[in-house]
Amino acid sequence: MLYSVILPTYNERENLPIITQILHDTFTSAKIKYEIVVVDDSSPDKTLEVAQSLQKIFGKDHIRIVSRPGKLGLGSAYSAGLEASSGQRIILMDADLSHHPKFIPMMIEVMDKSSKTKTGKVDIVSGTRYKRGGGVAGWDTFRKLTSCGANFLATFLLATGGASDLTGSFRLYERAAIVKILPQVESKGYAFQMEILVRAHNDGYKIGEVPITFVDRIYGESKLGANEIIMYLKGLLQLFFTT
Amino acid sequence: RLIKMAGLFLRYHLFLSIGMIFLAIWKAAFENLPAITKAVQSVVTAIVPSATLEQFSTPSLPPDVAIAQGVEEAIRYMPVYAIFVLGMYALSSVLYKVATFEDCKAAAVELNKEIEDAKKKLEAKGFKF
Repeated sequence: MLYSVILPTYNERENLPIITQILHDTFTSAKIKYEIVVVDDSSPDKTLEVAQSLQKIFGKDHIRIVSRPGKLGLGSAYSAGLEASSGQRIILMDADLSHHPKFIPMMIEVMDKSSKTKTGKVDIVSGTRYKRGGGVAGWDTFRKLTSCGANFLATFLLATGGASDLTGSFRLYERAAIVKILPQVESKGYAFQMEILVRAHNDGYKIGEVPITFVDRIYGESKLGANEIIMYLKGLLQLFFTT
Repeated sequence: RLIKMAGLFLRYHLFLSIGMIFLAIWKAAFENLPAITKAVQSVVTAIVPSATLEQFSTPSLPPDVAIAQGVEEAIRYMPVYAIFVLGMYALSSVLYKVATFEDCKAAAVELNKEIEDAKKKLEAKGFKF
């Protein structure tokens, strides 16, 4: 079975080689066939060239490149990556090393074992920062408060199939599942990841979980402005009234 | 899911129906106020010893009347109390989550080491940083 890792990149020339090497090591020691699909939105820091040199080192069968004319958004980056991928299972994750590839074999195990359990086969394994064994490095109490608050609001207002981390972006999908869900997703920002799980549950897919550690790599910059919060609430309300 | 298949049952419909059920219960409580008051009065006088009751009453406010006033007030402000309980539930859930939130400084340290290892491997393979 081939696993495709889709990595949307924008100005990741420093991190891309590292995550590629770690992914390569993780997959080869677990004896798993893999490919990495880099979807680059014309990064000004020449991430594309970095991707091309990585392709020479790791091989064209391991590294595929999709180059896009500009910053076109995460959703379309995922779609473009999906189209260029050939794996039967898809991993969506961040390219900035906040997600560690070592959790991927754990996710695969959860997915494989689930067919033997009473609750049935899971189609999506979501990395959760909120369960025992997971967590975050680099968050102050205020950040934790907003994250937990947003998550509580979403799990209260929406039907989310028991998922504990709705805004996380590190997940393993069966190809059939993500191909069906992705076109339905309309929101942007933090609500985007949440909407994927809500639509998944709506379509009848089962969601499993693996605790993951998240190392926040955006030091000093504020990723959480008033704008992001408003976009999130809008997305939440939209889903509340339409699903 | 069965309900969804039966028609278009959206998430906000669920909240709407819960709201309507609550309103129905509220209306029923008002309409049966005398009966409810009598029931509460008999339960309280049966459970609480008369000495304690005497302590809490004044000549102008005998126990029965005080209880009747309490019942009326509780029913009148039922929605407020419900929202308050809901708010407390939300607050305690979030605070609990934040209190048990795991900090993984070790992961950050480990990551830095792995970055160094990866850089060495890449340079050995001919990658130029």
